[in-house]
Amino acid sequence: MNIEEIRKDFPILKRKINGKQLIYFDNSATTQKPVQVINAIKNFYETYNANIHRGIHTLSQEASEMYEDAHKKVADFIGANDMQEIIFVRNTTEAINLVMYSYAMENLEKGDEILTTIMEHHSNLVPWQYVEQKKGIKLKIADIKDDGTLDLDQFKQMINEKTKIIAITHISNVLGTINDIKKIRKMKKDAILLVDGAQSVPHMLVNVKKMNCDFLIFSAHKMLGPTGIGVLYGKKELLEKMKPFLYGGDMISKVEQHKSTFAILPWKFEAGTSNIVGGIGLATAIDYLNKIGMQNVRDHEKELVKYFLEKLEDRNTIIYGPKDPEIKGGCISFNIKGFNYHDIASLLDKSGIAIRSGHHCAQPLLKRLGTTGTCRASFYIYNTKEEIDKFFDILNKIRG
Amino acid sequence: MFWKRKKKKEEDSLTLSEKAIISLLQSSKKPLSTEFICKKVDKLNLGCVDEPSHFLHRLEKKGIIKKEFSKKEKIILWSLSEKYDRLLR
Ligand SMILES: Cc1ncc(COP(=O)(O)O)c(C=O)c1O
Repeated sequence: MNIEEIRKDFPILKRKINGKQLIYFDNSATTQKPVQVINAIKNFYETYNANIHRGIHTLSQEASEMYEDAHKKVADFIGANDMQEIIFVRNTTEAINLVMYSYAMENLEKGDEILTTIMEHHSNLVPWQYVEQKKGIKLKIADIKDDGTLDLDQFKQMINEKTKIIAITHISNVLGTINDIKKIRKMKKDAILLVDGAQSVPHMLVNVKKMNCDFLIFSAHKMLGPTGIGVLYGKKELLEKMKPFLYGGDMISKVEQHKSTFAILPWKFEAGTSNIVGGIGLATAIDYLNKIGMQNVRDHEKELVKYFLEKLEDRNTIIYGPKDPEIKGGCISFNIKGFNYHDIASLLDKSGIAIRSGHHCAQPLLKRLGTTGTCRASFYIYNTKEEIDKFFDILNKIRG
Repeated sequence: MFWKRKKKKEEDSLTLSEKAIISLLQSSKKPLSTEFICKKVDKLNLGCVDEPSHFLHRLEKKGIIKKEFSKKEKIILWSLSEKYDRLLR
């Protein structure tokens, strides 16, 4: 993996912020885009732009094929059977809402249970709260241990015959904890297993068959792709049984005055004109990641995490989540005693360093950790140890 | 940027959170910390708890407020800039 060559593909990394070279450590929020993705978007609008499906003319044929190929590329990337299992949505949040409306609201009954964890992003918590309020189901929330890993013993005890959905993040966007999905699947084989892959799919090899999950969900913008496009993977037999999420054009087979039949998968769940160029941008991002190799991506981040943690540790610094890079993704949350987390982010920004501060859309977790916010540094393929050195030059001056 | 709309007055384009921050600083005799401002503005329930800090920095970029880091107290202190009044007009 040649980081110097990779960095050349990211025009934004040349930017100066407050007169200093940008150091972008906010990759859990969104990643930067390589020229390959930017050009694919530009090229589509300049050369292929047309609405997809049903068009006879050449442009429409070409655009339709490109959009379908994007589904196929995603299917291969996560080890799905075929493109019928890949639904393009706006983002992770929308995909979870799709499952919530089209599966949970339709199939769960009073007394049923949904099991989730305290380390979820709001996107994988608030939709289930809605089901709890509307359907009278019970939402159970499993705790973490003090080291920031999931309390698997408690998790197991919380499972019973009423557990109908297990909704869990693969990697916590605050703690970096990597959850053992295969182990969780073994604990309960007959519940719907929804995996929030927003922080895992961009950073490691993820295979839906190996995890045996029913749904896997992620956003393109966190993996070099554009905003406004995300993915819902679902097992075909499940998706086929589910009702559509949005109704209207593009998702139908036949329409009469008072009834309609719906299109085959995945189009049944893609109503209206799609984010065509978004799909093509995502496919290009996947090509880019495949060329690097997802194992290389993961190894690079593990090295950065190890290096960063060694430098971060200090008696005035609180580090949240596991410290072993083997069970941690590429994000590190911390607080410096006596400092406000937003102030740290603000002082770092003065030196061109972008980190995130605050609750990271995980307020219940932050409360569990005994704080209202943290600083979070998160890495990707273009980050280097030299950037980490520069980061600590500044941070050490701040923390004194 | 070509699509940026023309504003009538800077004050008209301020968000409710930005207005709340300015009014807090106007009524205070001394500079205020990030934490203090964020807690106060959060109580108004205008949005998510992290938003006030975002707006503090937006106001700073517009030159309406300024910050100073107090090394002794380990906090950033915010106050109105000398030209804020003129900028809002
Ligand atoms: C673990 C996790 N889940 C869900 C989301 C929501 O993603 P999006 O805003 O793209 O819907 C995020 C975003 O940070 C995340 O980190």
